[in-house]
Amino acid sequence: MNSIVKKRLSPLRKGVYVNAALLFLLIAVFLVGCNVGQYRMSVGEVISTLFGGGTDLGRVILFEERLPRICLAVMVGLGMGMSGVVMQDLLHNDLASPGTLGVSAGSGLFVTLYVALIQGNGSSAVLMPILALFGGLLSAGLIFLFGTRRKQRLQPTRLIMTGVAMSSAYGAVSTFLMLIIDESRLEFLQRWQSGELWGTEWEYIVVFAVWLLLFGVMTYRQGRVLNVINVGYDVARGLGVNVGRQFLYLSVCAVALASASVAFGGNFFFLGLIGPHIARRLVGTDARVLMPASGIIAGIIVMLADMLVQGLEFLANIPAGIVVSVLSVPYFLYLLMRS
Amino acid sequence: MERIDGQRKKFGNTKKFTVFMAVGAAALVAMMFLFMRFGAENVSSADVWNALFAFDGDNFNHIVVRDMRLPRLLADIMVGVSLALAGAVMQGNTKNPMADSGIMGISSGSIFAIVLVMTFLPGVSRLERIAFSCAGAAVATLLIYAVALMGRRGITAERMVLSGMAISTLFNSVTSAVVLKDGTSALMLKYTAGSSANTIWPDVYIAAPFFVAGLVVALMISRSLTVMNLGDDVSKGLGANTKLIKLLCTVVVLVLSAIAVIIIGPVSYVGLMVPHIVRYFVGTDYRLILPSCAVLGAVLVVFVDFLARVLIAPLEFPVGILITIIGVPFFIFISRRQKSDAFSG
Repeated sequence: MNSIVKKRLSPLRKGVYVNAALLFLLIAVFLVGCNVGQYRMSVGEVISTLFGGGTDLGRVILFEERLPRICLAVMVGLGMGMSGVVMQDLLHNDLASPGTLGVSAGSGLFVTLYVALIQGNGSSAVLMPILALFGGLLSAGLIFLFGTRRKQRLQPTRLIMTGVAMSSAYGAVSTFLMLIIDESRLEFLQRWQSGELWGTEWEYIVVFAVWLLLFGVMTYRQGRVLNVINVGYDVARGLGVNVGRQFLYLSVCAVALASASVAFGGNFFFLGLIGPHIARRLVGTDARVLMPASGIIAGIIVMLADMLVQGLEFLANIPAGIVVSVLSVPYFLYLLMRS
Repeated sequence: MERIDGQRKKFGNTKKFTVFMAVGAAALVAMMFLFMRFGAENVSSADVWNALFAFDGDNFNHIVVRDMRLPRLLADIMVGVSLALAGAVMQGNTKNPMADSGIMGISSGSIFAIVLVMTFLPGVSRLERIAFSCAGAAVATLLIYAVALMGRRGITAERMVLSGMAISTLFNSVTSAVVLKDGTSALMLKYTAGSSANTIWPDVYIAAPFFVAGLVVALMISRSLTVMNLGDDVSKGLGANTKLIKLLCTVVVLVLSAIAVIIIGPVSYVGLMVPHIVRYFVGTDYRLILPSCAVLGAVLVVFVDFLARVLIAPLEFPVGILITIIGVPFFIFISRRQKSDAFSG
């Protein structure tokens, strides 16, 4: 009897359970993450400090140092993970992601321009994600312009190739900018490009959270549409979906989610690709459970990377993005070999 | 007999090749002259001539030409030839039209090795640095081959590009970790941007023997490369030792790329662009392609470095950045031209 019930468990139901488990894991890692660093705090201490207890020193360290960093790490992961799912579903290709499509490089170029030419160390909380969004959208537009042909089917791999090429062009321009600026800005930009979680002021965190919530909900609401589009453009059209319009809407949402992550967290190149892959193995292809799962998994990855950087002596002072890249490149190569 | 002649015509166009080489050589000489004459300071034609053939150690212009522009010019030529040949050999060897030592991540392996050495063993000689550069390139190449060989079915051009991108990301990440920890970012950035501005004579002397060796071996294997491009079965039937040729190709590619990185830093897209342009003119025979690539590669890098020096003189662009800006549209153009069935990802 029991086994039949198990068999009847719908993929969606299972996905919800897996998501709940992942969320639990996220909270666990979060609490352990609060514990990593020079000053030791037990999990119990962390919890009591979070709810107003604990020592003064503990409160300062937790609320001024660790908490913003960990929150940022989670949110960067959420943004990149969700954005990756949307891009992969829209293009029917599991190699699509903000990184491989060159969208995050486009966002990055605008942030670089802003830091290099206008502001010393990127201190405007609202302007940064907006500029990043603008750069990401522009870049996505260019990639579509160059990567598609009229009267031909959309070819995702061609878009990705265009994205890779455009990324290297943006990279060349930022390198040139970095050559002509002073050393402190240079160091900031270099760290930011390698994925240093720099936006750890509460001001940034709040802006980021609102942004993420807004675009996250806007994206999530279209989960069913995304599922239908993932089956096929023609199928979606047959079911009465306005494919062109939804495609545009979802692309903008995906770029927005990725852009804010890039603006505050820096470049996490493969995160938006790895998150959806792992999530798909756990919850299947339904976007309604895949999106949160992918975001949570990417969040856990960034938190773990940050914990390594904070906790291990020989990794100290290295941007967390580097750890993520070093860990995710082998996985990416493995995916390439298998597919 | 007639049939063979007919085949030959289709196969490679010797007449076009002669014209291509003549025009290319003329262009190269002209570019070399312009390169030495113009720059942050313009030198008269007579001074250029005298600096080369009647050198006067007290004449400032002569010193500029002989000790600053000439080594840089030779460096650019070596880099152009190396990268173009490496690209052509790689494209022939892997049958991948998008192959390029920069795009495939070989240069990033070299850079990584060089940065490691410069950080942890600051006293090493130029010669040892070349050895490390080759070692780094070899590690990257091994990774590329591992991905290509272990793929379930033959790996497509675009998957190759993606794996190259991943390998570059891996090496670049570790490189930036080392640089950021060491606090030498400004110094390293100048190097990784790809510029020949600081080339001095010893750089040229040390790199030259490796460059010449790579060049000679590349030209020697051109015939086998042509045969191999007919397909593995055909070339085996014709008695070619495909394994040996593939190995030789690989070694040539990594030595030439490593030399280019040592001299100028990582420069992508030369190895992609030049063979494509050359093939358009001279056909598919590698005996004609490789020499043409050498000439065109030299012309391209010298020309772009000339632009890099005069466009915003007395400042200058790193030549690697300008080449990337030119190369990206080219890359997109080629990837658009690829047959769509190859793109069913």
